[in-house]
Amino acid sequence: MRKAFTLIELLISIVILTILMLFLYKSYAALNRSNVVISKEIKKLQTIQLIKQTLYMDFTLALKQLPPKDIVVILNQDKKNDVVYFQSSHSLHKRINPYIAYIMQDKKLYRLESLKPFKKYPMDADIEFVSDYLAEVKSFRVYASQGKEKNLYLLHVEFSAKEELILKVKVLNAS
Amino acid sequence: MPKRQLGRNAFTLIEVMVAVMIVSVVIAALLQMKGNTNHKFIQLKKIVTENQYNTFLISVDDKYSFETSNIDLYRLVDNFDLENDLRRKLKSIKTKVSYEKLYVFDSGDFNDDSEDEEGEEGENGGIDIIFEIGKTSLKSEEFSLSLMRVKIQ
Repeated sequence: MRKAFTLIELLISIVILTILMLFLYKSYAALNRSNVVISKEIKKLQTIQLIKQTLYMDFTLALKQLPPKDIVVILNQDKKNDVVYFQSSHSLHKRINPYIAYIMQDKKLYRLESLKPFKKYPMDADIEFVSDYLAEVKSFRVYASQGKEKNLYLLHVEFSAKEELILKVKVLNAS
Repeated sequence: MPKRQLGRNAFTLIEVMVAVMIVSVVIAALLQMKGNTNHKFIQLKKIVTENQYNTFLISVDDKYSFETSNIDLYRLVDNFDLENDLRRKLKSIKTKVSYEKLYVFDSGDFNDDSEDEEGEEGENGGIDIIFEIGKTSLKSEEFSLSLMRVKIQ
């Protein structure tokens, strides 16, 4: 007859197995936790990339206006807030050459798209537009070039999530 | 009890060592996997942030496109009237701009070739256009970016 395991042997093996399982579970749980954090961060990055792409396309494809109007109208509100109006051939809502505005209100950045030109800020009550909420931001600034080339713009967006976006764009249709 | 059965009662040293090795390899692999994902993600985030400085190289033809110079990042955008904080931040990033010629394409040569092959005359006749394909790189201690350029002469 085969010799059976004693109680002590069984107990020891169970204890060893428990310790091993404990470590394995711990590392598995940590992996799960870091996955959650990373997927959140990646979502943030994706949003920022999308905003970057939208801004880049909007400004690059901005349309020339009849002089003396500037291509991009920058209405500076304060040190951290600019409102910009322009016409672009890039649309998110399948419109042809829409008028686009970027405004920041209550630390939130919105992109407005309309078929009628935006003229002043705050806007008239009767203007129709589609608005897209982009992100929570600390500041949104657009700087126009002071040099010879007038069709260059520097965009600087500081997001509440401590990310930052700095883009230099050249308007292609300007000349 | 036969002798052979008695011998099976205990594990040999080799068996125990193999078992311990297998378990430790599994645990090591798991720990490494966790470390790797964290590291890779931090790298990715850094790349995304630094990549945007690439756009600074747009339209700096008259200044830093075709030569090598050591500058701070602000010099690439000094024609903008920036807010102080942003200006300070860009000034603190020291970079090296360098231009590397990759390929020169002379349309004169091309015309000769096409005449040989097809027996037709090139479109631009005697006019020589030289296309120069190059790479402008922006290097700092932390990152390195580059932009391809085509120069037409």
